[in-house]
Amino acid sequence: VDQPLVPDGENILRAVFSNECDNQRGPFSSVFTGGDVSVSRPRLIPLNEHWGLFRRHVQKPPQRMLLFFLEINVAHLRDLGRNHTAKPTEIHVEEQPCDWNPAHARIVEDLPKGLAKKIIKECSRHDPPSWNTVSY
Amino acid sequence: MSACPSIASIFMPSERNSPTAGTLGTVMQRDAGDAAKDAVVLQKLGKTGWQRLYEFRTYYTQGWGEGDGQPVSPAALEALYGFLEGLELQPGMIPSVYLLKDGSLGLAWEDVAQNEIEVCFRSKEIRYYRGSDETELEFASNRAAELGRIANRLGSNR
Repeated sequence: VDQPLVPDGENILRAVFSNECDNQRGPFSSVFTGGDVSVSRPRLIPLNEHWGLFRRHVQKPPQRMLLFFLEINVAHLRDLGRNHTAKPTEIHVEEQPCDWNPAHARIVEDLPKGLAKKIIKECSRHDPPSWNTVSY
Repeated sequence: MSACPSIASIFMPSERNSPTAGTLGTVMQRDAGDAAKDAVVLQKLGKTGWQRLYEFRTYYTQGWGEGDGQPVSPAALEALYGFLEGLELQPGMIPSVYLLKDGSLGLAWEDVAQNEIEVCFRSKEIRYYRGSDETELEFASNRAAELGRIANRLGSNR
């Protein structure tokens, strides 16, 4: 871990796109697995500004659509990692500002699938403010 | 090499008129055997799964997402095909397919007891996850077909 860590008191947002989620089963474990998972910090940029930011820079319609954001507190995330009985995991969320998103951060570790699924269940889900049906 | 547009033309009739079809994606020449693979994908993953896999293969080119996304790994794709050929699920049980940033492919479904199963096809290995007891197993990619055949038994851990 090279960069400063995002403080435990902050929340993080994980943007979920159509390649990692479907209508039938919702978000897959890949949302939080693989390591180097991109997240964003609503403390620096409010959630309502994230929609435009991610649509402009990351979404590639019509195939890759931004569907919703998942939000979780960093301390809670780390607790879930430590308490994951199948494989206790020390999770680090590292600051990683980039040109298009100064609030960008990353989850460093490659998390077990079971832990990723647990985290997804613990997240708050934020759908787009003006939700309309997206086919994916 | 021969173009094999048959299944694509059935499910993507408006593709030629899409503003992105020729600008963002790369529609590649296909091998003759791809028709058989298409048929397997269609049979096991249904129209939605076939269409999603088609989009992953065609439109998710180098640098997708935040600039570091990898195109579908050919080795992962071959492992997925091999797995699906051997996979026998109960009628109506249709896995979902997803794409990861590193070009890996994943399948997700539920076993007869509604426990989650996920199989991730990476370039060099296959990772199997069983939600009932949070078992995670790793297999060599060349065991894809074998894993597909025993997936039902792996799902039932009783």
